[in-house]
Amino acid sequence: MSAPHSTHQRAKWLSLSILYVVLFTFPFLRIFNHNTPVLGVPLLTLYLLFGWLLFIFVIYRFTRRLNGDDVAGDAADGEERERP
Amino acid sequence: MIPVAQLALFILLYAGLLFAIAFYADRRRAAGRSVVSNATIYFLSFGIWHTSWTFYGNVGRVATVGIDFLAIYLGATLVVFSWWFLLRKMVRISKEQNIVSIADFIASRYGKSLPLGAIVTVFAVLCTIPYLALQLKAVADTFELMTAVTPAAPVFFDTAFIAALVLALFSILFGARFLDPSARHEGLVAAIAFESVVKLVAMVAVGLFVTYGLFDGFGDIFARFLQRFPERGELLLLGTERVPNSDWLSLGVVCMMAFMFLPHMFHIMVVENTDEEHIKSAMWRFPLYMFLIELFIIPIALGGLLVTGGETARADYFTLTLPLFEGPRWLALLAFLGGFSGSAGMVMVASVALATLILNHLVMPFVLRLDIEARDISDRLLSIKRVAILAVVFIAYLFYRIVGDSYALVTIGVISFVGATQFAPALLGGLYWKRANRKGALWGMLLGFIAWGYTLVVPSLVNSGWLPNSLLGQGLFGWRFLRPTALFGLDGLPMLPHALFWTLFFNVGAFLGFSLRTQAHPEESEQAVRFVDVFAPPSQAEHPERLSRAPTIVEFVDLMVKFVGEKKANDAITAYLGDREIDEKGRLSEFELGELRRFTEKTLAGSVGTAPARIILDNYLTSRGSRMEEVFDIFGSVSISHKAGREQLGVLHEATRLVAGGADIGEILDDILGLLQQQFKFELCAIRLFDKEKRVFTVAGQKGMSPSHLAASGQPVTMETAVGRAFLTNSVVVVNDADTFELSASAQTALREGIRSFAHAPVTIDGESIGVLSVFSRSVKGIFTDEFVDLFTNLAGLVGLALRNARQTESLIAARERERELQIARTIQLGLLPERTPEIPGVTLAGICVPAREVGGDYYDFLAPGPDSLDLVIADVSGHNVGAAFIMTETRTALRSRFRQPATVAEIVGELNAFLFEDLDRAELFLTMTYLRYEAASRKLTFANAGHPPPILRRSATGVCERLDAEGLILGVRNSVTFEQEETGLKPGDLLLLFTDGITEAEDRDGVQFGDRRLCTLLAKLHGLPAQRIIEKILERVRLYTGSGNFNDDVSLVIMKVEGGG
Repeated sequence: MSAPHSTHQRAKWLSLSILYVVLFTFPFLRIFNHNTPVLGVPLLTLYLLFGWLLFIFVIYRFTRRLNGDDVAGDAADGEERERP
Repeated sequence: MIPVAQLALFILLYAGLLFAIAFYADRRRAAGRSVVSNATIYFLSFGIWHTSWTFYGNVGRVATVGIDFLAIYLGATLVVFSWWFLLRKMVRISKEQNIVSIADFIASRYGKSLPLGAIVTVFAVLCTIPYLALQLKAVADTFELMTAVTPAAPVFFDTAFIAALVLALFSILFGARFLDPSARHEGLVAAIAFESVVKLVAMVAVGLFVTYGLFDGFGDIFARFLQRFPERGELLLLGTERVPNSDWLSLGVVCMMAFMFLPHMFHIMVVENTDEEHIKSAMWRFPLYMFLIELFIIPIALGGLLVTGGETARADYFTLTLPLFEGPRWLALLAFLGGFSGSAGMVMVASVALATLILNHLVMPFVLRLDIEARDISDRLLSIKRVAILAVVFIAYLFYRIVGDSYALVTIGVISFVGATQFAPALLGGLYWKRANRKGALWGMLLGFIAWGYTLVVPSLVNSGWLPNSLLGQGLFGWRFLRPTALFGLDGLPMLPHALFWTLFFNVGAFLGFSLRTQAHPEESEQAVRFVDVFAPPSQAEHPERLSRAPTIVEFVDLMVKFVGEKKANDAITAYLGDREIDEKGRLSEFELGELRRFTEKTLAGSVGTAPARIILDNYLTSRGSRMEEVFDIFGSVSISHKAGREQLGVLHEATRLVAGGADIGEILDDILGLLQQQFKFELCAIRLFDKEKRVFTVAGQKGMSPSHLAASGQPVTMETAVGRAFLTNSVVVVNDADTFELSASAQTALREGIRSFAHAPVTIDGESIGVLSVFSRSVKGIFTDEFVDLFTNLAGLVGLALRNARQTESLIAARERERELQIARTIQLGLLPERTPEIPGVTLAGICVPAREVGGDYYDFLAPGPDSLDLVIADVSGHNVGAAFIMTETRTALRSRFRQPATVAEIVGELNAFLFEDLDRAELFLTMTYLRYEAASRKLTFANAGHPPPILRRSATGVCERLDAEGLILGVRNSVTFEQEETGLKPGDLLLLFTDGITEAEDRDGVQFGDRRLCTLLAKLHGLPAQRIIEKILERVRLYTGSGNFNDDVSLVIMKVEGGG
């Protein structure tokens, strides 16, 4: 993928994705792999569900930052063109 | 229990509702006012990811195996996170290349290869079948549960069969009622978006019911479960025996791939996308949706176990059975509806997507090969699509019968997912790696699918008894290293990770190997750049591709048929072929190819114009094999070769010639429009100019526009219409596909008039827009390439130039007209003045009138009623035109014919007023006049005045200037006026000066008027001179006074000098 997207954004995206994978695979899963109730919910279940929700929020914030950032590079300049 | 008939009716009603929604959405789209093209519908349509697997499968899995289902959605969420880069890239490419399916995408990327498209289609069908079967199973099972009926009927009447039939019918109804050239199905999307809402509501309702209705909340369920089944606590953990870590990871990976590459998911995400911006909001909304819908899976599963006492036989259907047996009926119905929506939605979209694939990549190529007489089959296409839908659904049914009952839902689904994963290397590799080539993609997928079949499908067949058990135990032909679940000795892995490993190993291995070791075809490389660098700045010019595979005659003919009709195409090709040699495959030599291409272009040009014909040929020859279904709508994003550019220059040259030709502006505009129409075959074109006062457009020229279309121009100019927008923003507006244009007013007009594409360019004079040049095409879309838009803008500029010239000419002509008029008036005026002064005893007379630049209306006259009397008249008419001059003529004639009759001065003036009143009134002019009568014998001077500057009488005795004023209204104000008459006696040496206000109102540089005082002073100085000299001197003086040689108004002077005296 080329120029228009800021490399900063992509770097952030990449690190967040890697973090996500790490948090939801073996090593970390093992840490939380218990049934002890936290707030009434078994630890692992809570970890997975809550972690998921948290990441959704991260996505939300990420999309907020996206606005306007990379549109400029892709638009054709000059005349108006209605795209389907 | 619910009676069968009732449930069936309920389902039908629900389907009816969905259909109504779909129908409405399709209608709105046809009217140009799409309800589906928005971000909310877009993300809701992804709900199709949640099928009966979500509703039932996941619950069953939690109750029996564990919570690894979460990997599915965690993986999907990660994929969603990548969407802004990945999906957007795919959408962008698809829109640019006009791609309508995943097979299209892959085939297009690798040089538009037909075989690749076919292979992808076959595999897509294969991997979707299990998933479809899963849905049929769920519908059948839940229906039986709800009605507590298990028909012990022969095979062809079991519930699943009926479910298949019904769902296939639905699919046809929703997705194959007509062929949409863009392969979008707005009605269908609307229906599944609605279903997504229903699913969410149903799931949450059941979840709440179980959690808070049957139990006391989340904590309660978990606590009770762990207390009652402590040994099953494993279900809530990972890394267990049943859910080893490899499983978790594999499931996650596989779901990520499947999420994007299952044909129906690809279709919804990429093909049905209308705006890249929608992706942004979908990125967080859809994961949230997933979260909400999956939130209650675990409680339901555990609750179910608690309620049934640990019985897991039908754990899959807890979501239904819990409300059914423990709760209110409506909730059970709702749950059923949710599950049904999940299944039906997926079946509909998947079967439609697969049918499109089959049509485009399996059927059409065969048709082309077999049918030498290019028959127009567009009406058959729809039937083929419907048959394909039926076929797909019934194959799924067969799969279900073969495999269905021996596996849990989730396992079947996983088989599908791993199949879809096989597209990943070819697709993702193609998106980011330019070196990826066709061979790599082909072999990668082939090997991947073979591995898939062997490691997943074969075991399932063994498990359901269709293949011998020994296969699993001892391997193929007894070779242990060919055991399907422990291939090459890799044992110890559960089925999923094992299959995933081997399929990807072969797939990626072949992909990399072949891509690195073989060269790509030139057209592949071009496509590679187009795909990988789709976000690169557009400065890179696109060159037309060289053909590396010769097209066949059949393909050319097929192309012609679409545009000129069957008969013409056949005649043309017959005439052309004559007795040329063609081999049996219809291929041509290089030379022949060029000839045929030229010939085809010529034939097409007859219908669509030369430039479009060239574009069509260029694009067709490069995109051949990719979208058979819409050959009639072949334009996408196109590059014009340099030859076409020359053609456009020719048009510009011709237009310039017209404008410079100096013909009448109406003709010029007409000719330019004619040029556009002729060269580019635009059926409609118009030039509309903006009327500043009424704020609407007036039509300055048009061709082919219908009255209703023209009438639309009469609407106020706003941003709501394309033409208004072009005018108001002073920029070109181009719409290559009227179907997807958002501005409703224009879209409706376009629809009504059958317009498929159009463009507006503002016409400007000195940079300011004064109107719009518009062209519309009824026959083709996508003609407005960059080069064409340049040409179009130039033409609009020429139109502006022509208009400006015309306007300038107009004002020139107007000015000349005015000049001429002034000339005439002046001539008349000068003709009115007396040629010579009469001889009256005792006085000398002199008179002069100097006309100004702007013709005034001065007049003076000497009339001699008798040898001893003299009438003097001086008059000034307002207005500087021929009309005024005529009034003066009238006056003179009236006076001259009148004066012989005895009348007093006052009477004369009065009668003159009455006589002239009507004309003066009508012309809105006024006349000022002084009339004097001198009787030489008595030296009596009688005078009357009608608003004129009073004459000056310088008495030689005293040197005082008297003003001879008399009461009287300007002529032309009132019909009947009585004028005063005054008298005075003249002495020798007295000097009478008549003048008009041209003298007294003459201004110097500072704007100070000359005034009668100065006149008087002058007279004092000059009185000794002869009358003529006095006049000349006065004029001299006034000229000096004003500082210029010209007067603003006519200057008239009449001197009467009484002789004698000193």
